[in-house]
This record gives sequence, structure tokens and C-alpha cells, in this order.
Amino acid sequence: MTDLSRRSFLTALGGAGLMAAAPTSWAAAAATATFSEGWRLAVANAPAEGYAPSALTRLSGKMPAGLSGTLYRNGPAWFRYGDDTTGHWFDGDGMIQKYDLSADGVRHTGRFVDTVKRRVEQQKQAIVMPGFGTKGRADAPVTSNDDVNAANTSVLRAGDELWALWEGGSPYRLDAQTLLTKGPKTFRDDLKGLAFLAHPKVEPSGRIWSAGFMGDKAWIWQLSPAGEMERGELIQLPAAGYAHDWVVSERHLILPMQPLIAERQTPPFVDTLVWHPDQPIRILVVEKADLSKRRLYELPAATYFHTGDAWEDTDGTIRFDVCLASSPKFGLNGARDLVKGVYNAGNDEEAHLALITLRPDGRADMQATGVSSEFPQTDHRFQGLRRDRVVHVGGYIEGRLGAHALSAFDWKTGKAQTHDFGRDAIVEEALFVPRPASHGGTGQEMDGWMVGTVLNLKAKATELHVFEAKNLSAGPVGSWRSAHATPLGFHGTFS
Amino acid sequence: MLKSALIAALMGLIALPASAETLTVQFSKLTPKGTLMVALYKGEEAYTSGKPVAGQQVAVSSDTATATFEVEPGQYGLKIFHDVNGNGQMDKNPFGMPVEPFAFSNNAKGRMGPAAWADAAFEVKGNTTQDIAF
Ligand SMILES: [Fe+2]
Repeated sequence: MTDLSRRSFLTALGGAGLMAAAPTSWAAAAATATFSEGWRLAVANAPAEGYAPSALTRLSGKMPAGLSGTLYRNGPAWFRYGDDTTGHWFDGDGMIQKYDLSADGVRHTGRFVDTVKRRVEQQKQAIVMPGFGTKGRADAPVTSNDDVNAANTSVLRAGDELWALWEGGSPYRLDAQTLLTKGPKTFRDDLKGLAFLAHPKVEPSGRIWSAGFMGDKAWIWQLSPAGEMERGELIQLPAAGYAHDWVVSERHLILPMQPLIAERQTPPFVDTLVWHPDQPIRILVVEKADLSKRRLYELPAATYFHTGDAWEDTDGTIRFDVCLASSPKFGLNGARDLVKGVYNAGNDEEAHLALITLRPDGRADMQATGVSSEFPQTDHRFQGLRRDRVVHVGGYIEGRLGAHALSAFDWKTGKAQTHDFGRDAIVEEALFVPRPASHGGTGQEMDGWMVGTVLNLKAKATELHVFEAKNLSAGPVGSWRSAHATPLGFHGTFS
Repeated sequence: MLKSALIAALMGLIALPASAETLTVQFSKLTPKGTLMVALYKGEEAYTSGKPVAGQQVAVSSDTATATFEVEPGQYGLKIFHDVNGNGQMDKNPFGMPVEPFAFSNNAKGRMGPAAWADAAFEVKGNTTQDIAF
């Protein structure tokens, strides 16, 4: 361990109230952490050269007729050089996993996004760059946001390309077949390096909306289905609240600014965020057609990473699903410990599914379900439109990292469904894939499949499972197991 | 800061040095258009506060370019930006981040800002050459 990394390690343990909560065994745990064992597989380094193409082994069931295509997933997959460890789970280098589904089964390959950050750090064999929760070295060569872009959060298909998304810099362009990196996407010369959310929203028309945040300002991106810029505008926010996700309805952009507020500018970013439980979530609603037309709603303090999707009733009432937590301690602290090999249940915080309603008269209310929920997904054909269902991960178990179940909630009936993968499984995001008309698809909401991955800690392997989207309780209709345990990912796309 | 320093330099607000070593600055890996705005600073204080001892504009028509300065011996630093679109400004994106290439002597890199004097400083003693790659 270098002096520098030792110092940041001690600072991290000493800072942010961690010392008070930290058992003395942590330091020992971190020093001896074996990342090929137990939950730490979730934050192990993937092979630097990527994963060679391989076929998954079928465990049960079969590929439903009509289901074919590619599941792309992105997530942090490189965290340490020896004992020199990145400062936060969200700062691992982005790696794309590609699963090709066909009647013959499932094939997998994976490749790191070839970012400036990764090149610098691989060359030095050290953590160098500042990031979301990483201080970085004093001599880190940083000339733009894209030099520290980890490209590790999500993916978007735009025309022939696959974009690896972060949230503080440009999308990174990749070849969708080879996964080879082409470089950051510049929409216009004067917009180089501008932030682009990892949660763009794609209208049924194919039009893409995204945003970038900087303090109390947001840049709104409106792109064509092929990913070319149609419009861009700067808007003023009601607060410099951190937003990882947002919602878009048929006519409005909805920006929930949680009272987790950036109050400084020195890296790491996460240390600039101050939690204000006495302040509301300020929800800014702007009209797509005229971004100067805005309304502001307030709800009691809560924090979130992810929303489902929004729709509007005929009277103009806006509703959206969101996974709310009462404290941001996982993002601020828990996710920093993970990469050191430390899982502290006291720094984990379960999020619950809620429906937020914004009424034309300015009132806002929140319907809590009490259902454990993260990574909410909907039938994307109904993006921005009235729908009933949301599928999400859940089934958290005290003292164990991650979700253990895949569940669905129906806002109309209030009914939930769930499939429990058990305590040795960490359930990742599942995506909806519509049943094609050629195979009897009706176009009705959720007529199709959920396709998602699970890290099986017992088998030390990642699995891919396919469900009938309306019948999760029946369990997977097809399951396959990879030859590899890939580090936990965040978000994907199916195409 | 860089921009105002350059403009000050270019407007002739800075006295020419008395004597005479030749500093040759060779630029490479350029986009072949626009203009390089080169500011030369003598000493740490001038470098940090942005008061150049000399400034030059160099038209760029290939991937290399050269600037020469006649200067007294001493410790110097360079700040350069490439005005690719020739609008006389270092363009920034709506969040205030530079969108045109910039560089420093010794190919030093800043960390979200200008390179530190300790990294960019070089000595002129006899005829001296600096190679700066964009
Ligand atoms: Fe996310």
C-alpha cells in the first residue's frame, strides 16, 4: 500500500462519522478481504482483458418462442490495484456485459469501456483520478469532465451505437457488436464534456430526453431517436439537490431535487453533499414544449436513486413511481465501504416503492406501499403514458448485501407478486421485453417477458433468468448460468 | 484568467525583455486550423497571478506550429490555448468547462485548472526548446 492510499484509507475510516460506527475488526477485514469469496464477488475486479465469448449453461426451462435479442448491462467492474482501492463503488471502471439471447440459448461476452480514466490508471497500476467518492491524486491529469468519466452506470442504444453512460460527463460511444470504444460523444463543439444522465428517457416515438446537473443548474438534452441533438437548454433549479434519476411524462419533464445538496466543489463529489432532513424534496415540473413554463411542488424530505416512470391524468395530474429511502447513508457511506471489502448493515438503507401525485392545484402527495424496492422498470412502450405495473428488485435481508427477489406491483389493484431467489442470490435489474406480434403479442401492458441477471454467490456465477412479465410468482420460464461471476452491474438495455 | 492575461499580453501592455536568449516552442498534434494563443510567464508569481512577460498568436495550418521568444535567462512557464474556431476566445460549455484544447509548458497537466508552477516551470539558459503536444 502506498503512503497516499494508506492516508486516504485512514481518512475515509476517520471521516463522516464512520469511526464511531466502525468495529475495530474492519481494518483487519479490509486487509484480508478476499474478493473471490462470498458477497465480495459483487465488487471484485473483472479480468482486465474482458470476458471471451462463451455459452451459458441451461439450468432449466427454455427460451420462449419469439424472444431474441441482446441484453447489454453496464456496471463498475474494476476497483483496486493491489491494496490501492477506489473510494466508492460508483467509481469502478465501467464494463459492458453483452448477453445474446436466441432459440439456441444465451451467449455472453464482456469488455471494459476504454476511458481516459481507465487508461491512466491501468498504465500507472494505481487509483489516480478523482470521482464520485474518490479523492484522486494531487497530480491526476484532469483537463475535462470526460477525463474522470467512469462510463459505468447504464447503456443506451442510439442509432447503430451503444452509449455507455455516466452522469457527470459525455456518453461514451461503443460499437454495439464488438463493444470496442470509439470515444466520448460530442453533440456540438461548444457542448463538449457536458453532463448527461445515466437515466435518459425514451419516448414511444424514439425521441430521447436527458439532463445534466451542475449545482443549481440543469442542462436539458432533447435528442432524435438516432441520438442527434434536436435541442438543448439551460434551466435554473430550485436547489443544488443531487439527482441521479428523473421522470418524463407525455408533456412534462419532472425533476425531483432531494434535500441532499452540493455545498462545495472539491472532490470527491459525495463529500460535497449535505443531507438536510428538515428541507423538502423540491419537485420541479417544466413543460417539454416551453422549458420556461414551470411549477414547483414540495414533499417531506426523502432520498432516492431511481424512479419508475410518469404519466398524466386527463385533468393534468402527474403521477410517478419512485423508490424512496429515509436517509442517504448507503450512497454516502455504505457504498464506500463495499469496495474495501466491508459490508456494514448499519450503513445500508432499504428503499420502498411509492407513488407521488402532483395535482394541478399545486398540492403534492405521496402514497407509500411499504414494499422494498429498487431498480424499478416498466413497459417502455407506455413511457410517459398511463400504465399500472412496475417491476423491481426487493426482498432485502438484514445483514446481507443486495436484493434477493424480483417483484411486481400493480397500482390499480394494489397487488404484488414476487419470486424469491434466496439469500445466496443478489438480484440485478430486470428489463421488460415485449412479445412480438408474430408470436401472439397483443401490445397490452406487460405482455412479454422480464429478462434479468442474478449473482449466485453459492455457485459463484452470474445467471440469466427469463420470466413471463405478468406472472413473476410462477418463477423463471428459462434459466441459464454463466461461466463467470461478473461484478454487480447497475443498468441495462435490451435491443 | 488565461484569456484576460493573453489579451493583456497581446495588447502590448507588457514590456519586452531586455536581452536575449532564444526560446523555441514547438507544438505538435494540433488540429490544423485556428490560432494558438501562447502566453509566457517569468517566475512563479507572474505565472500564478496571470501576468505574462510576452504573448504570441500563432496561426495553425498543419499539425505542428512554432513560436519563438527572445528572453532573459531565468525560470519561465507557458500557458497556451488553441482557439480552434478563431473567435478570439477560449470557449466554454454552459457549465463553464473549457471546450478548446489547452496546454502548459513541460506538457504539465492541471487538475481541473491550470497546471501548477512546480510542474510547468522550466529554465531558459542559452537557447532553449520546449516541445508541447496537444
Ligand atoms: Fe441508476
